[in-house]
Amino acid sequence: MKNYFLLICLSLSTISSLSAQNKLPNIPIETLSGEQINASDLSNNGNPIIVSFWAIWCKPCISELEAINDIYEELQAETGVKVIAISVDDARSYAKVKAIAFGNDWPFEMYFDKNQNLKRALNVLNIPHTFLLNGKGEIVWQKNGYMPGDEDELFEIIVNPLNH
Amino acid sequence: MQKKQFKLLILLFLISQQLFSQFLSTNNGLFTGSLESSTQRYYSDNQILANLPLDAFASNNYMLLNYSSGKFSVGLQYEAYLPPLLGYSPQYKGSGITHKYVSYQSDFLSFTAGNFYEQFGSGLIFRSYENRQLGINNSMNGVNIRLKPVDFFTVKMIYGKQRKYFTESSGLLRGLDADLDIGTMLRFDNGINLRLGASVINKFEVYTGADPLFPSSVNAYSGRLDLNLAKFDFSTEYVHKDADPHDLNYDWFKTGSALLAVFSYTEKGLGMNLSLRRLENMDTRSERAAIENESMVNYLPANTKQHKYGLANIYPYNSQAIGEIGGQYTLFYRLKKGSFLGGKTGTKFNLNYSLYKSLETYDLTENEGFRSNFFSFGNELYYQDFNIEVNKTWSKKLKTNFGYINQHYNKGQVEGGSHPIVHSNIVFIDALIKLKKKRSARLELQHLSTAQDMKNWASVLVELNFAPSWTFYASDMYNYGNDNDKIHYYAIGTSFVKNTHRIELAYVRQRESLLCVGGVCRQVPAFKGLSLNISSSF
Repeated sequence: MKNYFLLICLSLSTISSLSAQNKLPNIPIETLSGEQINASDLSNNGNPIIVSFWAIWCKPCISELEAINDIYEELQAETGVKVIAISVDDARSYAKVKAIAFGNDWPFEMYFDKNQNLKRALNVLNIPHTFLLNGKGEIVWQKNGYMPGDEDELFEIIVNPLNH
Repeated sequence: MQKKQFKLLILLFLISQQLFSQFLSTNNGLFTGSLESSTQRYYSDNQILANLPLDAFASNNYMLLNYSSGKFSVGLQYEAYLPPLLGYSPQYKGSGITHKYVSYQSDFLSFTAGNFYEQFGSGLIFRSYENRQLGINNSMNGVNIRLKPVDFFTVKMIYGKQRKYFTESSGLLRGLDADLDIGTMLRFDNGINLRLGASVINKFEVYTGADPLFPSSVNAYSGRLDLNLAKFDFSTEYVHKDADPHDLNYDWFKTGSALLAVFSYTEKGLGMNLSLRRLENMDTRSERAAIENESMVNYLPANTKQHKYGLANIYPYNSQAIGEIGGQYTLFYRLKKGSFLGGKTGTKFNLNYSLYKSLETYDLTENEGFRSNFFSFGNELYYQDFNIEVNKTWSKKLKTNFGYINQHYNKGQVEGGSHPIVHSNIVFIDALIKLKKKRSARLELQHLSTAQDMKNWASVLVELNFAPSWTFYASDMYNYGNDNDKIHYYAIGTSFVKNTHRIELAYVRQRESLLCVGGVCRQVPAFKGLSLNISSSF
């Protein structure tokens, strides 16, 4: 029994040693005005990027974006980080995305992933799902779900990436 | 197993792991994937009419593996329903590789052979997608090509058959979509853009019956326009479908149409949106005998607000593809910080109103079903929803969301059978209290009152979060005010998250309900039991 357990652990270690989704793939997403761009072209002049997958009907997603918004000025001043919010809303709700972004005064860069091609390519199962990209565009951290306080952890990781 | 043998196995394993990793790294490739597993153990419960299935256990499992190297990628998805969870079609029973593809992606050309998902326009004419919660996967099996010869013009092509459980629909689908970005072509100023698009879809399913006029081949055409003028946005799409007789539209020889028009106005602190949609005979399937959510070619979500609170989803609207007309208006508004009503931290409002009615019909005929006046509303109300939410941050420690919802739901039309219209009033309050830096509590109170159907409901939810990993929650939905039993539907559970790995355990007593995500619904029977969900991506 012990042996099998060891074997399972080894298999899991194989899988995790291969976890190497290190950059955003070359998949088209849309700007709020409908222009197509490639996710792999997203950049922030060598500074880190937070990429958050969200939708208008997802309560924790909105809570997360609001919580990041509350500390965004401070975060930007200290680290130069940029937030990119990618909506996975489909035809039922994507027309409202621009309205909520302006209505809530979100200063984020926003895109659509209407048929969830980028979401799928990044193996995002549920939203919210947040990625942190370093200055080279490599994914250095990611998390599924949001609970209040997560934004503080994200802040700490951006400020002191070596501690994590 | 002998000790020696086991050591040998470990050694082999380590060597293969090294070789495999080396192979992947020398090819500069990426190996990624995800795993999702939901298992339930059922118990019988006479009060909520939850019958124990023959097998008290059920489990849905999905594993997706992708490997990509440069412009190439390959992948597969394995699914196992052992047996499917209650509410999923029993036709899912079994296991196997359901999705496999090879793909090449460059700026000029993208090519996928095998299984793929694709969407034309807003999906009114064609959308293939996956929604595991609803048990929908109408992915295509065939060829998908996307050409972008210049940065303002894109052509997409699809050719293949749609997935139906572990098999394929009998009809073939082929389609073309073109998108012209005039703003980019003519280098308009920032904030101004104009895009035009057109699609055509053909489905072919051989007909061997006696009617010489019955079509084996059906075409649908669509045109669309998107215009952005700084603060104003306008988009519209129109679809025309040839006569498409199938089981779900009573084999009517009747053309179909869909019209969608959306107007938006946005400025700092204000967002408004008006969306109008009319559908007539637009239910399109790639197999004439399809039922429920099988073989859906296009995507016709309810054009109403998707509510975030439980009681507001007891009576969810589901679009009536056979014929409906209506629309919705949405407003997002933020009162500035420091203003009289905004207070220290500002206040946010969200208002939404939607109305859907029947078409105004005349000339009811046996062969064609009905004819209608295009821009007129019929007399029958299908759905009406007025709702308002006020979101207020009182301090760093307290945020609240209050709301009121007034709904009118034509239960007979949406769910079938003979029922009166359900008129309901819902109030809710949701408070988030930050106890410490990484500890928080959430309290949700809701009440629904109605004189119809199952009468009144009260609901309470308490959630404790210990960021970044633990959540504990308990909830109760109490149905009262009717002559039958007063029933508590409860849930108690916990979840643990570590980065992209998540595990959740809950004990629930769930009512029979219509589960709707993105406007497509699935009937979920009442059940009581233990539920274990695991998800992980790597």
